Amino acid sequence: MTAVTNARPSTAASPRKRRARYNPFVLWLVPILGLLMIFNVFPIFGSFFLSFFDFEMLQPLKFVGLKNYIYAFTTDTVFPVAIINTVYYAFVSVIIGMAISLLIATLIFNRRFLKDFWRTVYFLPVVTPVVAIAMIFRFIYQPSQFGVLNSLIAPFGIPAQQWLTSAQKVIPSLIGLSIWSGLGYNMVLFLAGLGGIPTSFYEAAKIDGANDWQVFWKITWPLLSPTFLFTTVTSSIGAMQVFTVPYIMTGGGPENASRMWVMEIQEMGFKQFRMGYASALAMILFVFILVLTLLQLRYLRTRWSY
Amino acid sequence: MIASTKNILRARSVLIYLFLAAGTVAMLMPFYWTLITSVKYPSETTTFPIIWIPTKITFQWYIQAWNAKFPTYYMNSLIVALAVLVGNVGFSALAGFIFAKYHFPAKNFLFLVVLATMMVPFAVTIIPAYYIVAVWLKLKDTLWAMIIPALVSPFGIFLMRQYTTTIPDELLDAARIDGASDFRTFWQIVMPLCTPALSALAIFHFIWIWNDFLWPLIVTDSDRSRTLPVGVALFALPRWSQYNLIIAASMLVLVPVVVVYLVFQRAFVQGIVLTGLKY
Repeated sequence: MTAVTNARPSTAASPRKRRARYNPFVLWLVPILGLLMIFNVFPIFGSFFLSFFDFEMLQPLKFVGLKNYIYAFTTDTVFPVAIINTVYYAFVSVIIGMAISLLIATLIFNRRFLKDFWRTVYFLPVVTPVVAIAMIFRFIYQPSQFGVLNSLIAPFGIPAQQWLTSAQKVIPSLIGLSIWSGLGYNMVLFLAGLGGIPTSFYEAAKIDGANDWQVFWKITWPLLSPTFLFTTVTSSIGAMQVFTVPYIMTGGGPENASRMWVMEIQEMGFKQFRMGYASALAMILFVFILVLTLLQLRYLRTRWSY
Repeated sequence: MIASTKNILRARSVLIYLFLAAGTVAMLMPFYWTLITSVKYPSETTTFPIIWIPTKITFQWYIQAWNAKFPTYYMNSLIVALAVLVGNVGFSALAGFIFAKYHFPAKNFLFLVVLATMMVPFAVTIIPAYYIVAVWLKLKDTLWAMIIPALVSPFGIFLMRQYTTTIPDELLDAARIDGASDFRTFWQIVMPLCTPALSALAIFHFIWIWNDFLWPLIVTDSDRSRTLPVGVALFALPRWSQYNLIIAASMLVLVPVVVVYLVFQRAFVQGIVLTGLKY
């Protein structure tokens, strides 16, 4: 590696001093990382800092200590509901979404025909703008008998459902939508993961007389666990921050039944201009996601090697 | 008996294809419904059962939606997406290259910081980021507000660094011996070699920026800087009863992205895989 002169630190034995000389080309990193610091790193500390203040944008900061945090968990009537809604949504949508993605990925992987077609089709909802999806599905989920989904289930004798207007059904409806629009993403990752498993394992298993079920649990599943870990972690982080779909489809749902964490942050910060409080909510979210991710990394990481 | 095992396998195979086909219908149905509703007359829209093949079509909804500021929204989205695409890919490649092939103090620490940044949820950064952009820089309601924060992305740097590491040092040394400056080496040797990663990154960012909603929502105030998703949503909100119009507006938002996807899908899927499996 000769792009740069390596520094040779002087040792105690040799009193010679040599100044490290680094290629000035490296200085390009300063504006680039600088931008990163400003918009990605600094805001974290900024949020932390702001969460201990009352901050109304154009008025001076007012230090309030832990008041925001205490308020969030005691007096605020909406925030605890937002936490429950978000966790419920994230938990169910990630688990079911992953199971279905994995299923579809294994099915597609083992087909001989039209692999690219299946992959294209199942991935299409992933690239579609969430705004468009939210608006379209708001109509599909229409509660009357003229709603698209209701029209489709009517021939089966199921009466028209209150998809988005019932407090019990609204989050499951949102979960259904997230599965429809998100499964392609994890599916593609699983397809890649499946491609990384050497076929010799499958052949050996077949020779040993293993049936499909055994093949899946003893070979495919263990060797997919890095992919599985990655998809779980990233899906969870994304699901906890859901915003656009509930914002457009339900605006918080019948009586806050679909009010989500990030919606609350946006509401507090940009509608009510209580930015200190919003920062506190954001900090709590950050800690929640951090703990969740660490737990997942701790308990879901396995090291298999054959 | 071999014959019957083969038949069972064949039957199972057919069943799986049928299942995948059913899934395809489920995936595509909303798109098809959107397409037909955007050109239907209201009389055929809210019917029961659904009319899957309209008897008469009209493009008036598209015309109406288009006249409501849509060209502005399109221009804004396009400018922002292209600016970010060019800037981000360029910066990520440059930063990745420097991380991969040069030595400097605290290099590993800095790279770890870049990685750690990837883990931070977006929602946590929006309030201070908004403050920086709107108050310090006074860029509220401009396209810059959406371009500048997106010019550097940690995963872009990460991806390019991983990819650049695979370029043999000998190649770079040869260029240096031939008298090429660092920048020229970067531009004329490294960049062309990284085309798969660059295109994956480009497409990924294009689609991400095009679809972005929350950030443009909070940094834009007026139609002059609104991007497509925000423009469409705010257009639709007071007009919910006009189904066809809203759906035509949705079509205007999703068609460009779907086209880009269909054209570039191989590179796009490759990008997902490239980013996903380096963990």
